Amino acid sequence: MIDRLDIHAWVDGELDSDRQKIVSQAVEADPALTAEYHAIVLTKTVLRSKCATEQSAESWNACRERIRRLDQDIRIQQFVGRYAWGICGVFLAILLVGAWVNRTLGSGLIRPGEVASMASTLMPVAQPRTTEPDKMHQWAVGTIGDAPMNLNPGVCQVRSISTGYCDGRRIIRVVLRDAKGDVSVWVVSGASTIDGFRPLPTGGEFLYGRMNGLPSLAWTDNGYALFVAGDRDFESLRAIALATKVR
Amino acid sequence: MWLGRRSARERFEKEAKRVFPSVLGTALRLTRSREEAEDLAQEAIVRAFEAYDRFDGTNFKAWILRILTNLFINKYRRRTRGPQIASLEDENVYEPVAEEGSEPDAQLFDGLLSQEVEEALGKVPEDFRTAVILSDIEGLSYQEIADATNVPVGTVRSRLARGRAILRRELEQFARREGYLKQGTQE
Repeated sequence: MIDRLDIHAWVDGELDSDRQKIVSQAVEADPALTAEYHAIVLTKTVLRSKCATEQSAESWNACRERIRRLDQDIRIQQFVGRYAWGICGVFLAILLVGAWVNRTLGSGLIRPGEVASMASTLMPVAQPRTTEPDKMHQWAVGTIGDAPMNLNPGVCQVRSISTGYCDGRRIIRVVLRDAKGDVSVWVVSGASTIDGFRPLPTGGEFLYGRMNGLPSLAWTDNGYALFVAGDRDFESLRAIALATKVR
Repeated sequence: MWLGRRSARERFEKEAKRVFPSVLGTALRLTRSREEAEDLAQEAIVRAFEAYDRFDGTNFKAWILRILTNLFINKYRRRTRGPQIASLEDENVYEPVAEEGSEPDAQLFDGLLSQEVEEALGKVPEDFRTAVILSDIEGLSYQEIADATNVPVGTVRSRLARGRAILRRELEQFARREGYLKQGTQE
């Protein structure tokens, strides 16, 4: 007597040759098992022959599209995952190079608006307790140091001096007074070009424009930009600028 | 790296296209809904692509049908629960495929249409039907079916036998009802 499941296994080709021999002999000898064998074969045959394969080009195309999108995502993820440090490094390098370029090539440029905004960084320098013009002059000359500006007591008196640093630049503001009132002279280091000012229509060495809403004259000298600003006409400012500019 | 991935995808697409009719057909026979079958088949293909680097290179069709069957069991079956096994004991009881004392007639089912066979197959409880589909239609081995359905080979054997017996009975009922069955064959 054989296990009837072995008949199925025989039909399905799942038996080794020895077992197959035993089962086939048993099936041949027993009409009931023979009927079972034929019924299994017939059922399998009916299924194979009647169950058609399913063709759907539309479904396959949709499937392939999903695979392609997924593949694209995977490739991007792999690329980013593998080269994340490199990508970050490139961005960092771009930032550093940009900063370096800005500092070295663009640092020579100064805008009057920048100068006005630098006022908040300035600290007044303590003045000597004297009213003697000579002592005040000495103090002022010593305070401005090597900045390329003349202090001419015959034209204006020094009222106050403030100094400070902004973006790595030394800034000096000297407030001068003459008969028409106060005038500020700004000295900014590390500036070789003045942006936004135009040459005076009368010609000459000065540029003119407005700084912080006040009429201003400006010029550059040996890596410094100098601005003279005051609430007065340009001709009057020019007189002070001429007295201040180092010859 | 990108070229390697592209060629892997092309290889996969070539293999998947070849077996897609089987995948879709099996999905259709498992879910018995065209819409769900297409979803299931597509999801199985996508899952297979994601896991393609873990494919052992032996039998692509069996591998992808295993993914499909697992996906069906874990995700789709809850929604499309078909006729189930009455009890565990039923599964282990041998039911003859041939009727007692009758001679199988090769012409018995000749008149049946594909649609009628599919309908009869749909009436077979799901676990038995899965085994029958994978074995008799897709030609998977017992071990491959066992892997696909997460059951021992012995269970596959008994499910196949039971499934074929039920299917045979359903086909006979169909044939008798539609008049394909020769008079006197069964009676």
